[in-house]
Amino acid sequence: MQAVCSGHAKNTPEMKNTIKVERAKKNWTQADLAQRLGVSRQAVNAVETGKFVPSTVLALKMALAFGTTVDQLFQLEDTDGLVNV
Amino acid sequence: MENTLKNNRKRTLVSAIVWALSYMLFMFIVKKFEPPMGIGIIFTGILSLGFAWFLYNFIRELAHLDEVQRSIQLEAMAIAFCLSVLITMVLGILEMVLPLDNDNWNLQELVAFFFLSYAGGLLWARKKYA
Repeated sequence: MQAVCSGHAKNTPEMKNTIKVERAKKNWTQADLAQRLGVSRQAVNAVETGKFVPSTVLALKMALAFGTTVDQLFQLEDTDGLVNV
Repeated sequence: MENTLKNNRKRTLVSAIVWALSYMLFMFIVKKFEPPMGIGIIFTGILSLGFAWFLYNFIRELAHLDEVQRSIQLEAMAIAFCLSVLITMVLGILEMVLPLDNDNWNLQELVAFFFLSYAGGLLWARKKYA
């Protein structure tokens, strides 16, 4: 099982997200979202493109900004091998 | 937040430039005029204080970065540290086995290499998250 660590960057993302879709719905640019979250545009871009896995706090802030939930905004790419406890 | 970050970045940059210029000036004075030991020690103390000022501003800047920017800094530092250990180790071992010409290079020149390796690490890490 692969661990999902905050800040872990990979070429192939292990977590997909719907940030771009949510931004399009709100008609926000990356800079708009970054301003609302109090982070850099680079941070929004890195999370959106799957290069950076955000911390729980940032994921919660993003979900709050879009009026959705974290699990709707972020999903695991591959859940094979994960066991429900 | 953006303004605070910009101000901190400006302060860090200014302190780095002031320190670098005073370092180069000090090196020039030492090489050209060979001042007495007491003056040299005082200059070294002043340079150290200048660097401490830069370090203070740099740490303040880091505190205002977001998590991606902190990751970038962390990776840049990790690369710079490893490269610095590598060059120090290589030069240290070489010095033991073959006579290195101290007129052409010395420990002070390593300082520039440390900063260059940080700049290289920063470029690499920024590209990774761009």
